Amino acid sequence: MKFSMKGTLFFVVVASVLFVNLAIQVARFSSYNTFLKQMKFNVYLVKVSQSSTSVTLELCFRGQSIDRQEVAYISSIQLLMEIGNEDLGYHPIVGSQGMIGEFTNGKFVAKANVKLGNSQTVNFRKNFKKSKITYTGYLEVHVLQGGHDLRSVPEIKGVIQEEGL
Amino acid sequence: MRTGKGALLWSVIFSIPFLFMEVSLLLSPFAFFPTWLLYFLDVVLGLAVVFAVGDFRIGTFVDLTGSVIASVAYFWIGKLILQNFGYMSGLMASNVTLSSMVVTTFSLYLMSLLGNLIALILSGIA
Repeated sequence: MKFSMKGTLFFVVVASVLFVNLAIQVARFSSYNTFLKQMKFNVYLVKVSQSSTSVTLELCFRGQSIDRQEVAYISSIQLLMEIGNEDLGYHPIVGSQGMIGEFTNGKFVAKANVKLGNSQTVNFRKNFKKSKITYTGYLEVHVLQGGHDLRSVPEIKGVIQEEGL
Repeated sequence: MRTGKGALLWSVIFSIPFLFMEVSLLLSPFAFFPTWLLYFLDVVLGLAVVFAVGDFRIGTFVDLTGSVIASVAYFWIGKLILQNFGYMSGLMASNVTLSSMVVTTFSLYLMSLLGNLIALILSGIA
């Protein structure tokens, strides 16, 4: 076998170009993963407006992540709420133009009104201020990276904290 | 048989950049190079391996065995990524499946074979 040093050098150069390409991709991949893993999400109850027939809750969503993405936004939130083991219903929240809010400097803030149905209103009036409101939700998080819209649906769970009530 | 060991060594060496290309196609949602550029570099790689080895027949053999070695490694890497990052987008998950692995490996192999043929023509002229 005629071994050529020049040819080997050429081969090594092409291989290292491919390696740099892969390294950039792996860096993007891990930054996306840490963004999702580090994301903390809280739901606050800001305002309660009651009428004779129904109750409307004004909720504030706050999220943050240490890892920052250039373009990251949330397009919808599916929210299931309970108050003291009694049902407060399923509330899909969608924003205007397919977007609720954007992560700016790693922070996300959005507000939404949730109107309770009849039986849910009864449950709410019976238990409000006595027991905590718990929630389970699904976020639809989009991250734009390398010309792709990466969508993932992490689950959120917790207690809705009351703020300024 | 005289060149068996050297060809095997070169197959392993060739499988490393080949694996880089496969994994970067696997992580295509995070792409830096466009796909066509990756395939072009694949052709160049096939050309380079013939020039490095100095023989067209051995170069073609190295291509074939190298891509087999790389695809076996790619299978396990893909499996590992899918298990550890199960919530990743469906696009990437579909890149890990066996059928798409075969298609990716085969098209990359064809491209590097094209590089081999170009090298044969160039060496004939030169």
